[in-house]
Amino acid sequence: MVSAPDRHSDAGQHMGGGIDAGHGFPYGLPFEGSLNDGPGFAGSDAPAEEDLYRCVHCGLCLSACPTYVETRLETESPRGRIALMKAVHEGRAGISERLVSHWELCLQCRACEAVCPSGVPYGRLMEHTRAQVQDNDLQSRELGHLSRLFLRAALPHNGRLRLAGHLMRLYQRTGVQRLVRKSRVLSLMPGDLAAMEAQMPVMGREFFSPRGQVFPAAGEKRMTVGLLSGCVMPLMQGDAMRAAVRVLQRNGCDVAVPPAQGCCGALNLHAGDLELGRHMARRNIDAFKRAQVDVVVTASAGCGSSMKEYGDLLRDDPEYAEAAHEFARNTRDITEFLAGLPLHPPGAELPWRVTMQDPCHLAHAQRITEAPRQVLRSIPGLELVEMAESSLCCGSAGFYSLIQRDMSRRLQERKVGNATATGAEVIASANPGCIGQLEQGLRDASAGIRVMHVVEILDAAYQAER
Amino acid sequence: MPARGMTRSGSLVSQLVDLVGTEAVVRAADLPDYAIGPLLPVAAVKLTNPDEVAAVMAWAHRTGIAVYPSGGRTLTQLGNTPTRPGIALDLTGMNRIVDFQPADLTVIVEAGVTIEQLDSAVAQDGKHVPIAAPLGDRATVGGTLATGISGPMRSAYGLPRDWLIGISVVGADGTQSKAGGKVVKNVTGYDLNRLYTGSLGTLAIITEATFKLAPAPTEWAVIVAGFDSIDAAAGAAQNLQGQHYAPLGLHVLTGEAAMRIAPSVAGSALSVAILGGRPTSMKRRVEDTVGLWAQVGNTVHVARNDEANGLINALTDLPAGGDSPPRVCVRINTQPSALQQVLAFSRVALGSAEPPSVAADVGFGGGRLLWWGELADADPALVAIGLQGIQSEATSLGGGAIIERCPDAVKALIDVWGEQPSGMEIMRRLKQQFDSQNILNPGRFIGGL
Amino acid sequence: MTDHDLLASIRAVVGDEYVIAHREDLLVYEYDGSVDRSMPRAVVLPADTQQVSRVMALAYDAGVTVVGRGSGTGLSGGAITPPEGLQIAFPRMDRILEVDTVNRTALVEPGVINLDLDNHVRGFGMRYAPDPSSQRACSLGGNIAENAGGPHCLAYGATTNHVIGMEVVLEDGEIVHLGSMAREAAGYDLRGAFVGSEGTFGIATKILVRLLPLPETVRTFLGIFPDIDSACTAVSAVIGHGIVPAALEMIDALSIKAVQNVTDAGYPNDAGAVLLIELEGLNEEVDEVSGEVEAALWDTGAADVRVAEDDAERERLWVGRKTAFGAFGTIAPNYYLVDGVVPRTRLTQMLRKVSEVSERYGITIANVFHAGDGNLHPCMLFDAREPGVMEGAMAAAAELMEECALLGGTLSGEHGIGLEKKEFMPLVYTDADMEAMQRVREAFAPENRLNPGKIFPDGSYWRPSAHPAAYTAGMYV
Repeated sequence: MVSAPDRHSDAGQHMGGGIDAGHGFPYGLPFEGSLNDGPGFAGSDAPAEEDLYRCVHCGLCLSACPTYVETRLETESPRGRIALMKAVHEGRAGISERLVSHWELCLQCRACEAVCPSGVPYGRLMEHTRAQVQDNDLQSRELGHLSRLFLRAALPHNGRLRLAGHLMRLYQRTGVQRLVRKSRVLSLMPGDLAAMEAQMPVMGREFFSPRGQVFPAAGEKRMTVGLLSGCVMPLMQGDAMRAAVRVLQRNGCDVAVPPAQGCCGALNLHAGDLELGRHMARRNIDAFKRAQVDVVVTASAGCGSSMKEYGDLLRDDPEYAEAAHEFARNTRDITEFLAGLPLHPPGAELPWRVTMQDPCHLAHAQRITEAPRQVLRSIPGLELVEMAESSLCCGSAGFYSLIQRDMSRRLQERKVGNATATGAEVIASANPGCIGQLEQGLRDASAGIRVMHVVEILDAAYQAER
Repeated sequence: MPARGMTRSGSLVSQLVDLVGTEAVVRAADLPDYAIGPLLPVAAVKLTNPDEVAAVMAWAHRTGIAVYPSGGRTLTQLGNTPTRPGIALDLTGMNRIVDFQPADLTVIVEAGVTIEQLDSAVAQDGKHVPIAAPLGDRATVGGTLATGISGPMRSAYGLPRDWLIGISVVGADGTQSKAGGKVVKNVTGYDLNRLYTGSLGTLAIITEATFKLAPAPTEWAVIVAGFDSIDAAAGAAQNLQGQHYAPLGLHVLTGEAAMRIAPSVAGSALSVAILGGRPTSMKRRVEDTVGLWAQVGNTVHVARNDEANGLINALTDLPAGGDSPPRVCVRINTQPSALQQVLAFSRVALGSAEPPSVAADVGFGGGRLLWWGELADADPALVAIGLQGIQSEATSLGGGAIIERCPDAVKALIDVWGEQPSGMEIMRRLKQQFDSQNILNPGRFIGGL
Repeated sequence: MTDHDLLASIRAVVGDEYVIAHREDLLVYEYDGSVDRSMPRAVVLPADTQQVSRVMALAYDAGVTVVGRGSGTGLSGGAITPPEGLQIAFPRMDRILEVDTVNRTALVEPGVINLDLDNHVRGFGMRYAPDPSSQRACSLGGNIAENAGGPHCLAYGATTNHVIGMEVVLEDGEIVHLGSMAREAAGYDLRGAFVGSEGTFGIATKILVRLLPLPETVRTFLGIFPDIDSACTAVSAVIGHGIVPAALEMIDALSIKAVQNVTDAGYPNDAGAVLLIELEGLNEEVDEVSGEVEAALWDTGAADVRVAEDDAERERLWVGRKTAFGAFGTIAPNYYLVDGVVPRTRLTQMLRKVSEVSERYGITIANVFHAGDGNLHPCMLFDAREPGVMEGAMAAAAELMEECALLGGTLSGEHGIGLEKKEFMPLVYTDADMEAMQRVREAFAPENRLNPGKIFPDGSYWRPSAHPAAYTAGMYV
């Protein structure tokens, strides 16, 4: 590794003498703050030098970054965050609370990656940086709590998740929620808890559980697809999952939902828990291998993006490297899959005005924007209208909305404003997190618009045929 | 600083002979040709290369004598009255086309080359440098740049500074330097091209200029329409503005100015559109313009090619006017939206003189006020007050007014450049930096620079 | 006044949260799009002209240098702040204050993003013509400082042709107005001198720009050539034919390969070079000129000529052009490019020199550039971690700049001189030329407190201060 000395101590020389130091402060007082509060990067999961220095700080990512667009601060830009990583890599700065705060404000939406002409693997850099932060136990308090309670304790375990889901549904359905909100008990609780309660996802009426079901193809069978049930989606949006199964069936697919599968690990990976993420990846690879499916389909853009990167994640695992590549190659987002079949166009009209919100992990991480639109355009009578900034993050970003509430709220308002300005009656999306965030934003804005997964809309069109 | 030799021009002449040779020194009998307003130069030299210019400037810098660079002498009226006598420096002898590269679309010329000479040098290849000055057969490139003067197609083609890509000058102390280059795109160092352009020779003497060229339209037309009222003419002209086939120049003329351009077209005001392009597009340009104007105008006349060029030249020459120049000429600079206010100046009386003609440049904004009538019995103080009123009115419109031409007695009472702009202090420092002895055109520029 | 007092006074002017002074935050204000870096003493984010003026007056009284920063996309080090200097950035001054459809102007603050302005005024049937390839990130204030260019400057001129007037704060905090609301103003053209002065004359706080009406028709061509020589001949043929397209860009074989590695721009992989040509104007004129352009391309040996069928295809062709530099990352980790200009007829000669230098130094050089105005961007591709390679690349760059000068060209067409090229100024300017330039700076900024140490050679040959692996420069052109 090449590393450079701290050049700030020799002010006046490090610009090659090109700048007359005599014009500077005559007092030579020190800068505010220090660069040496904290550890450096270490170990095999540290951000790679090759990845870091692919960034030539051209700045073309700036306008794609939601947090930069909102703040116009370099510290809250992809280029700035990479510069901070470089500073740690070069030994010019240590991982500190302040650096972590800039990294944690990142939504990991990867919009920057999609526009980066140098191909900087920003998502990977940020995951590895967060891993370093976690290894050094320097996460923000909020992320730390969440990580321990949810990312590690619940997500990897479907049973625990379902139990929590049942409890939440009970809480919301029985009226206890109303009671609690009314009683202002929450305002007596620590601030975090009250806010997290407000952000609590609305649980679906029915969950969708992987029990090894195989739903048979309708009509002539084209292939067997494995459907990722995932973690929160079957709990929050069981309807969307069932719609996914129906449209796949309708398009000639046997749909297998292998039992031993689990969460894709995306949230753990984003938070920097690479080891747990790898564990979860291996579990899914095994589960789908046993089910002997042709392709693995997911209705969650976030999961799809993560699964398509299993190959990279497990490249140093001698046992799984090849299987992981194979798995990644065979993974499809459901809109991508349907558009590529090509799908059977619905026979009935669905006279809806729909606008498409591009989930970050579909548009940026997977570079898929045309497929969902192709699916929607295949529906007779449906009018597709584009919103401004359709691929700017809605602020959901996994658990971001729980931790970076202010920024999340700003982006949510921006998104809802752009969506409602189109006059659409339905906002189409393809990711559970976005759908939840949009629903909540619309509730707050009291706008009379529905949010639906693309496959739910397609399903509605097929239903209308009857 | 008082100049030595000022009172004894004889010894001054001999010094000049020593510097540049007898041939270059102008005969005393011809000195009146070099008068600037009431001021006669004490001597004049006609130079043929930059080294001579440098030698004279170095000498002037030493002696502190004022120097008045001189080109085609078509716009000597422009500027305030010089503050002190000095020598005229005639650059019309430097009249070579130095380098014409049609494939590069660039041309390098000496400062004394006339606009007409430049035009014909590049025209043979279908190119043009779309700059213009009144009396182009005499007006020089150096003078056009120094005055920053422009023609009736400035709305489309911009100002001389927009075509200049390189310049050579001799500084007030005789140092030769250059700026820019001979490539069309250049951000190497500060843009001095633009600074020298329009500086009226008060910072340095321009000796050579490099221009970029454009392909010239292959066909020209000028559409002239007469209207019953100034408002109708203005409305018709503005209607053309929003069209894709908008003209290269668009003007509204009143009174005498209208008469001089198109005496046969009836009406109290004229609209004039200059069109240029390829034959394929000229059809629509002409037809649609005529179509728009025929509905509202009295007579619409279409002039093509030679006749069109004649009209373009006549428009260009209006402020200088050949045999009968206007007595007073004011250039108004405003935004295009101030057209009504510019046209309203046609009702402004100047002392006892008749109200002026207006030649409004609809596309570029602003225009000219021209008085051809007698001012003989007008009190110079009243005329000066009237002109200052116009200047302050134009300033309040977000622009300004430059008195390009007026009687010497009036000029003595005003700053022809108008109110001093916000950057005046920077301009003073610039003058101090470039001409610390204040020998270049002293007193003629804005604020007495 | 002590350092502490100065910062406290500045905080009192703009508010505590708008002064960035912690070192860890300043790490991201050390760089711009170029290779150099230096940590400013603090970054101030003013909200309006008055705040800019008061901050600059305070800095002036304390003897502190000031550097303006737009989006930090510059390629010549223009926003690099001297050690202990103060940086003023404009994220809060990013409003389009006024769009005037009658006079076709827009009044903007310096932090407005170039593309945002263009998109905004397109809603009114107009456009802002200068389109640097960094346009989706770069700001108008920075464009003014560098006199930014772009592909469409071939027909419409660089930034200076589109600025009518400015409100500017001078080094001592004085607020002046340059130019006026009208396109022409009395006195020296201070506006013209200011544009491209690389932040050494003052800081623009309001800018009145000229807008152009949208053309009736736009047509985009891809001329495919077997080699770079024939493509150069085609450029001369088009220009020599009396046609000045809206844009005329060249992309060589290596660049095509790089582009096609990352995106399908529709460039054929086996071409020796392609020309991207755009025509704009009246329908019938574009039709006619299209025929002539196509004929010129075929005559000079084009293997194929394609016309973009729709907006999507045109967009795709341009995306290829605009991603080229980044795409070089797929060939080598580092690159360095020269922004030289030569007269258009010398392109062939210059490109031969480029390939000769490439061979002699053993460095791969790709070419993707504004062929129509002779603005080259030979781009050296290398791995800076190999010993000696970086020195070779620098020496090669110096030779190429010398060649540009020899052929009658210049050092920079649109990126500016800054820190990067200042020692090369004597290649094109004499001491007297540069003294004249310094006089203008003396008039605007007598104390030389704004962005000092840039543009002019001072004997300190520029050396990189960045991490060796970061020794890359010159994106987006």
